Amino acid sequence: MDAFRYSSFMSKAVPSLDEKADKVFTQVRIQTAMPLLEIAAATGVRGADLKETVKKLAAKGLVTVQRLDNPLDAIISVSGKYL
Amino acid sequence: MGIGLLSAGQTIQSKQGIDFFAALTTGWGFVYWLSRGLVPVGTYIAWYFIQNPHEHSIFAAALCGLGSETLLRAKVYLGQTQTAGGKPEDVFKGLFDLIEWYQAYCLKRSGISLAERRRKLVSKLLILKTDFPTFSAAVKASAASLDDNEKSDVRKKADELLAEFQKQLALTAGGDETTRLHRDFIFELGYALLKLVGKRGLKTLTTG
Repeated sequence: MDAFRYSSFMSKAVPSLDEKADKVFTQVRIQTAMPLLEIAAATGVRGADLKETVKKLAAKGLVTVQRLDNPLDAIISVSGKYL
Repeated sequence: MGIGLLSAGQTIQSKQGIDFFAALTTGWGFVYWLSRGLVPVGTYIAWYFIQNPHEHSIFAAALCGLGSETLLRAKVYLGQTQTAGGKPEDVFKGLFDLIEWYQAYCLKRSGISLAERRRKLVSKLLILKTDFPTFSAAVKASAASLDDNEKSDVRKKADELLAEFQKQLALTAGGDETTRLHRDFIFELGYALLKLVGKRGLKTLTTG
């Protein structure tokens, strides 16, 4: 029986992030996907700061980004690996 | 089928952190939920047709549900590998790896659909607003129609964002940057209200 193990859905280890990035990523991960300005409302990270943070998270492969050039339309979603 | 549907429902609830029923109203959420429910049905149908003569059995149906779910989640131990830190790590593979990919794909698409819905709602209600202090004052006035707790939360949020807006306005160069700042704060307050008072409350506060 050692050869088989019942597997629950385990969360993946996330690379270490600074405080802002961690706040943003945690929110996106909880919601799966969020409009950019909804993230601002939920975390208090906003403006250029938020855009940079999202770009950093995307570069690390933690989130995927749609239409980041237009903050009103942008949608940020968690990468499938971290769902 | 019930076991598969329950299992998929539990995954949607625990992974998305959102209302289970909201996820089911998106195409991908529904497809995922239904497809997981169909696995035990397929197993039972296969079992039914290999019987001779064909006979229905509630006991076999329950066993097919539990059995297929257990098989989907079972992993076989393949050996050990070393992590980047040099620690040994057990390697398990199984059908669940495939399910995990399918699950992540469907739940992500479902989450994006829900986010798009919220974005469209806020955009539809607020796209014509151009001045944040005026909008914030209007929201505070309309909040009079809410119950005491909601009223206080809404006013607190509007004040908090107005203070932050004024701080940032002092740092902007004017022109397009100022227009963008108004827009961003109007939408940010919109999303905050959606979370605080829901869809109906948002409509009341922004159109009243």
